[in-house]
Amino acid sequence: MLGVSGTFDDADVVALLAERRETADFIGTKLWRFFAVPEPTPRMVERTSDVYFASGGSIREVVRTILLSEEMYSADAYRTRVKSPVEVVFGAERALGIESDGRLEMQQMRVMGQQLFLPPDPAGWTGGDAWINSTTMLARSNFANLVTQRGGRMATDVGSLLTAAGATRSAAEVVDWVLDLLVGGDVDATTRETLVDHLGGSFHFDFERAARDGSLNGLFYLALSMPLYQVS
Amino acid sequence: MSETQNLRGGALGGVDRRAFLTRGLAFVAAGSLMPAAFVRGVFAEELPDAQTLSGRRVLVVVQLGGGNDGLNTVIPYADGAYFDARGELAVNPESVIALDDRVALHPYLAGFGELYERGSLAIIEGVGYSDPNRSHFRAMDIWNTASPRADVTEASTGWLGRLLDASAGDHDSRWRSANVGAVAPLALGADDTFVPSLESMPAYVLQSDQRLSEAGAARRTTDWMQIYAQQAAAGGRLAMLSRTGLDAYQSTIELGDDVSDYVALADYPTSPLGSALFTCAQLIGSNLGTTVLYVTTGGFVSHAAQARTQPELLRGLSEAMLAFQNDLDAHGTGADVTTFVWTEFGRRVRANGSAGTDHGAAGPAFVVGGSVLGGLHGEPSPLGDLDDNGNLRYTTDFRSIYASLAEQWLGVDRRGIVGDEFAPLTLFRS
Repeated sequence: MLGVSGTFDDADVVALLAERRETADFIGTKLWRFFAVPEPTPRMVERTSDVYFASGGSIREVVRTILLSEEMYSADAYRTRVKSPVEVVFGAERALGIESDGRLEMQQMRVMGQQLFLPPDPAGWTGGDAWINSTTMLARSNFANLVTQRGGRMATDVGSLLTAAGATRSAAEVVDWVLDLLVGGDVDATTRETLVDHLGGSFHFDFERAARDGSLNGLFYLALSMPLYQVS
Repeated sequence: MSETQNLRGGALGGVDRRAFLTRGLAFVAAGSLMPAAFVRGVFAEELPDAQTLSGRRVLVVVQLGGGNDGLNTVIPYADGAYFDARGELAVNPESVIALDDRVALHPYLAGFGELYERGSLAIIEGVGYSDPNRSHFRAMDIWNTASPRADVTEASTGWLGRLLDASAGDHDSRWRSANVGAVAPLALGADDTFVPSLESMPAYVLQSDQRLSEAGAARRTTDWMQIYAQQAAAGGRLAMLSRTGLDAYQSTIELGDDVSDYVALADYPTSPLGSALFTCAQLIGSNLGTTVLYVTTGGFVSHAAQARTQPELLRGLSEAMLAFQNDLDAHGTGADVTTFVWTEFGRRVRANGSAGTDHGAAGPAFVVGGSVLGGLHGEPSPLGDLDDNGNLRYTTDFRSIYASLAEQWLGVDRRGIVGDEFAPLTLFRS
């Protein structure tokens, strides 16, 4: 097997595979994709494969190399990766403080194309851009609606989140707080302006009224369904 | 005029995608509220009178995922070599549906037998390609892109994607093509054409907060659209996401109400494939200008205990296909629709030690429809002359079928899809 003769058991096979350069390249490519960039260059993969062998096959060291790399903080790695349904769903629920038994989450992720523990074939999910088609884009927005609409089974009280944070004084303050929470800020001025307008504009902002007429929930919905939330 | 012209014209004239977007954004810019009914009104104004389906042609592609065992599907029931190689797994020759004194259909393919009798089923034997790949993934890539040599990259287009790009017009409906399922196949990968994926008709909608007033809901949708359009400006992945989202929303509106009014005039089996083909019939019957539809059905992997799985899968396929064709016939569109059924590879000629069969190579493909030239096409792969892996050698390159579907059926030049090399088979009545 792979140029070596003998009698092998399962552990021998794994050991034999773990010594191959191809294995290091394969794992390195997957980890680069997961943590940093959609398309790692051969030089980046070579670097992590070198670390893999120098560290006796330590995945921890490979991940450390990636997380501390220059590429990790480059423009190529900034908001270029399409989030998986798991990231979309649990990222939102963690931010909003939603707790549930997981059943609705499983169903939501399934419509987004990821049935946990049941990938479509042995190669797993293709991931990246392949998460995106018309059905899954609608599903991502509809999930945002599910967790932000008033009175829903998974809905959170968005008003109390803002009250607790003390971010209630102006539409701009509310919008900035929500964008910081959900996408780490750094949102183009036009989107920000649309969101401020959604709350009724900069003048005469009334937090109570926004909470009552649904526009506050709408703000969370729009921020969670917008294209920017779908990438990391 | 050629069929290409026909495609270009599309059955749904008048809705120009860019024009709509611009129009939509003009409303947004004006800051006006846009109730859903009003959005529909914008479209309704632009739609021409519904056109009939006559003169328009539809291609439905059904993929059998996992590699269907062709030898136990179209069975060389008079060949001793078949029984020698298959042993226990060989189908009892007394139960088969004989097509002639050489080949027969599996006994569970009664629906296919009926379609064959009617002259609506073409069976192409020995379909494959040179240097066959026995990996599911690679083999599917090869069939989907129609290029066995080139490496598949993110930029690769599919054969149907190229066909759609080549026949695109200015006034296409977003439903000119659709993948009926949650995961779009590489075959539909296009450079310029939006291809919706539709898994469930009721779920294909942009939901809103039930407690919002009509004006509140309209305002929310307007702002959603505006943000999507704004973030498209960033380019790259954000542009891709924004475009897909906007097209998705607009395709929910184009879908309209006709689709749910469609009444089936045949009994579809209550299987995922039956539902998917019913969805195809709904789209075809709704005057949306639909030309290419894609359905995937899986489970054909049969490494072990094949006799417990494959027959039921074949029955499910056969019953769903017969219902689909009967439904179309009853709606008068049976001759306007052609369905192509394929799988990424056949299976090993010799059965394995687990009463199953391993990944093979060539096998049969099927073309169904009222315009199809029924009967046996191509040449059978000889059981006495296997390749080095014990697999059937192909006699017809799959790209000759694509060439025929593109050129003879949809009127699109085959060269942009499979190149110059592969002459079309004659699969349609002239």
